[in-house]
Amino acid sequence: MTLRRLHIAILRGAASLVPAPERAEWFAEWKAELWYVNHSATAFCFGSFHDAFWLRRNSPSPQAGRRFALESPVGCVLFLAVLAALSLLLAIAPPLSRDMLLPSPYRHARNLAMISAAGHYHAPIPTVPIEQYLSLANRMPNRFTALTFYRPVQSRVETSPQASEELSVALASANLFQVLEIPIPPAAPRAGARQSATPLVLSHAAWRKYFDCDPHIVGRVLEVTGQPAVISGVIDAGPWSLPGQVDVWLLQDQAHLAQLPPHTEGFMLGRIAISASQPRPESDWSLSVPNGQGGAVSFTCSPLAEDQFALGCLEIYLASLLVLLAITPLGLGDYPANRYAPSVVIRLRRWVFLTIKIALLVLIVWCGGIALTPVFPPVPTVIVPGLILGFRWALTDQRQRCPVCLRLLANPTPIGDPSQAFLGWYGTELICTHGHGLLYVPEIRTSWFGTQRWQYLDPTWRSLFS
Amino acid sequence: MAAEPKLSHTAAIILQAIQAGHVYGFSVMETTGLPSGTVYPALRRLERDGLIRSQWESQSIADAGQRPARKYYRITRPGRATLAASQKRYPLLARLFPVPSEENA
Repeated sequence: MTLRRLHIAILRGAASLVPAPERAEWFAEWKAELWYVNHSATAFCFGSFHDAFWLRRNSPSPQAGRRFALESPVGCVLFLAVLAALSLLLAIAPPLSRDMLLPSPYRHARNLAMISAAGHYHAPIPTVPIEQYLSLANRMPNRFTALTFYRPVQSRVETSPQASEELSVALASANLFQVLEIPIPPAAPRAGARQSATPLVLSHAAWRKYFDCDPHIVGRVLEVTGQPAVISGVIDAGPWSLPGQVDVWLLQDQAHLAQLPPHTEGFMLGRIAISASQPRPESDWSLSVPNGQGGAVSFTCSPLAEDQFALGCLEIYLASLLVLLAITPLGLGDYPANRYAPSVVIRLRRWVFLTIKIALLVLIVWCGGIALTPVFPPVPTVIVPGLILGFRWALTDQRQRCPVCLRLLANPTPIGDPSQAFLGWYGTELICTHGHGLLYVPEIRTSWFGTQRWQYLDPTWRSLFS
Repeated sequence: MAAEPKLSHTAAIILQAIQAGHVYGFSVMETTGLPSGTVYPALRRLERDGLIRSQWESQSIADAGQRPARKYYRITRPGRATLAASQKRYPLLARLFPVPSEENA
């Protein structure tokens, strides 16, 4: 019964594509026929989509004549632009995708690695206990030159003498910004303030939102997580692309961090040691260190960025284009069947249109692939087939458009008779509904008619089409 | 005299199947082995060209048989003429789905 409902739903879906005047009749016929189908009923139902598309192409009803927006060049570009905007939004929304899309804000990001507890690949949650960080920092592994730690917590921060706000405070090791190579000038507490204050760094957004863009805020002492903190500086929102939303960073020394409960988990970051004997790692690697009890603790280390990202993109584009050349017989040249040809401006417009289409398709596929990264982790898994299909569609679509007005051609008509004379030309003729010309597409490529030809009609023909 | 429309091989097979007594879409599909996405558009084209005519079965007959009403197709006089021309062009066509009267002859 459920399968039957599914089949009816498929038929309804197909019927929705049929032009309205003929919809009820077609649905009734499909439904009646389905009753007699004993096997491959699902295939029968999906065949109805073929019927529906055929109807959309061939129905004389005015509604069916109103073809999809892709017919006009402006509609096509707008449609692709909307798709590109949606893909971009989908790609930018998740933090993991955004990090892949945007370049790393750190100067030597390839020398930085995020260190997570074993098995937590690119984990967006804290996974390393503070006791393990302190242990590692004291017995620095030879693969790293520095380690840093931070843990975002929600805490009330005194934003003015009369008010306090709940902010996201990163309890961080003092060397966090040194490891990230973000310069933070040391700030002395203002006169009269306590001298033992811990350095505090504000994000630009928090400075604007909670401190009214106070230009003299550096040196001010606040109460944060129960301890005095002196504001050392404000960093722009851009440089922070690490996991965790942070408003302020409280830079604590090891002694302060050691006072946290030992199992407090946070994010650990390391600066990779690079030498002739230890080249820079290109991908994730595993780090095992003794735990002091005869066992070992394992971590997963992931380089923060790959400088070869742009090179990788280029390789993917080239691979896609090479595959496309191998599987697509369509040329892009214009093969006029007569001497009349459009002006240079019109021909140039055609190439500009193709370039815009390809650029938008690249954006759609690239952002879409990145947005799908959580589902299909290796990016090329989605992007290479997507680019091949996208480029192929762009070329095919281009060849089906009038070179003059760039509208899709209409009224495909079979011409010739294949069974009567083998050597006689036969194929399909398409027409520009604005009277700019006819396109002849051969059914079989021959030495004298290998590719499709465009026959331009001069303006004297226009009266027939008006 | 108007020229008879020339049929593609697929359309000629479908027309021959209807002539042979397979008078609704699914029966044509089963007989010819053509998929649903081919048969129904072809039936529409043949009907548009006046080579066949369709008619919904009476609902009372369908109710009596406890099944949905069928849409039957019947070959027209121009359809027979076109099919005869096609049989000359595709001589094996008539042997694919012989008309019952031809089988008995």
